[in-house]
Amino acid sequence: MIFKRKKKKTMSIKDLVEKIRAIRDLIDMRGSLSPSELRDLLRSIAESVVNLSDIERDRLARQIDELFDEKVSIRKGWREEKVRTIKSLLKEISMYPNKKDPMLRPKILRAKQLDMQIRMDDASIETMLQIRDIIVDTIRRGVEPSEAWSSIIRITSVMTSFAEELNAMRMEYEETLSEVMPDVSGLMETYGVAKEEKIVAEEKAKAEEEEVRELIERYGSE
Amino acid sequence: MIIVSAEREEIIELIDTIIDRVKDKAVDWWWLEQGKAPIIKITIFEKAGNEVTLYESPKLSLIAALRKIRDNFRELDKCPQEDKFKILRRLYYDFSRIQKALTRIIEVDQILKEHDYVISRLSQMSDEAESLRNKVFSLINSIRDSLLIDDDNWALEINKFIKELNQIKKEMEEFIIRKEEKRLVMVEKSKEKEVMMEGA
Repeated sequence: MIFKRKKKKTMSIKDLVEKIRAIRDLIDMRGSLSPSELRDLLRSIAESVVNLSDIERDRLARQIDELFDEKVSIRKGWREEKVRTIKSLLKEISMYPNKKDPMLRPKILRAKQLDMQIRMDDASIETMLQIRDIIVDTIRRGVEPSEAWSSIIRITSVMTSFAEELNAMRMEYEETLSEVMPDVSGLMETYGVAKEEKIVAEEKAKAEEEEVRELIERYGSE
Repeated sequence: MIIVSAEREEIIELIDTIIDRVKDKAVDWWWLEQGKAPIIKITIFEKAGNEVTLYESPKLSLIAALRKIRDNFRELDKCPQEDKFKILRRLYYDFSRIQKALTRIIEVDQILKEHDYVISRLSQMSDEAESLRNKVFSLINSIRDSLLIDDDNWALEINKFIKELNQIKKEMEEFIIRKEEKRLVMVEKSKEKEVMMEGA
């Protein structure tokens, strides 16, 4: 026999809840989470709940639902606050009469950072909700491990898109930060020691205006 | 003892509650850099041995000032008895100034909310409206600087603020009408041109 069947690993309900809590926190912290880890968890959930009664399974499902709900609502609260801040910031930026004012650059950068954080929050919330649904569904139905495979395929796709999204955002974020060069040329410009060519400044201002316009379109202003 | 420990804890708790509320409200104060604009100077005291030195801080944001006052209350017990009264008097003075600033910020914010249509419209308008945006900007700067003036002058200042905002609103509407008229003339002209071309 080439492929050996994995040994069944049943967990106590308490351990199961703790394991799910750990996975939830990992997603919340945007930690690295492999689909295989989740597959194993899902398999052990299915194996652990298969012998429970309907009422016991329902109680456990509610517990898991609350577990995720708590984190999702906290994250949503933080997200709302960031959206309010970015709206207010965009209003401030758009009311600035001189778009080339050096005071405006940190504000634009802050708006971009906030936008990135909001999108990361969205990805975390969405992933948490999807994984909650899959886990709760597995517990409620008390499926046999073989039946859980359809969920495993779903979870793999959710995790892959989450990882891809985070990776794309990380790259975009690094690009944003790389614009703030740690050399002194920026400081020289700020304090008027070195003069930047007019055309470059205009192009820069135009590009920034365009970016701000895009952000306003996405969030509106306060 | 001037202030007992339980009372002090109560005051610290109250300041913490105020900080939380201000933090929540300040997010919407776009005209005050989301509450981060430095607007108020408060007392800072330093203790070296038995000597307590009081000095004025640079301008701080409302939240930073409240935090500093809270820390001052925490440090109060470590000061010699004879200095406590002097420090408490200064703390009371700072706190009442913060309260005054906060009340006025809320008043200005309310007025700006009432004129939200003008502000939003101006922020979306093209470069031609830059002079109007400039006016709003300098108006906001001047009201920010006046947040701590005496009550009589504040009444005059806030009336002037409302008046000028209304004036800007009027100018903006005129600007929009002028622009629309220009557009209509252009449309009319192009229609005439089309008719002439067809006739030819």
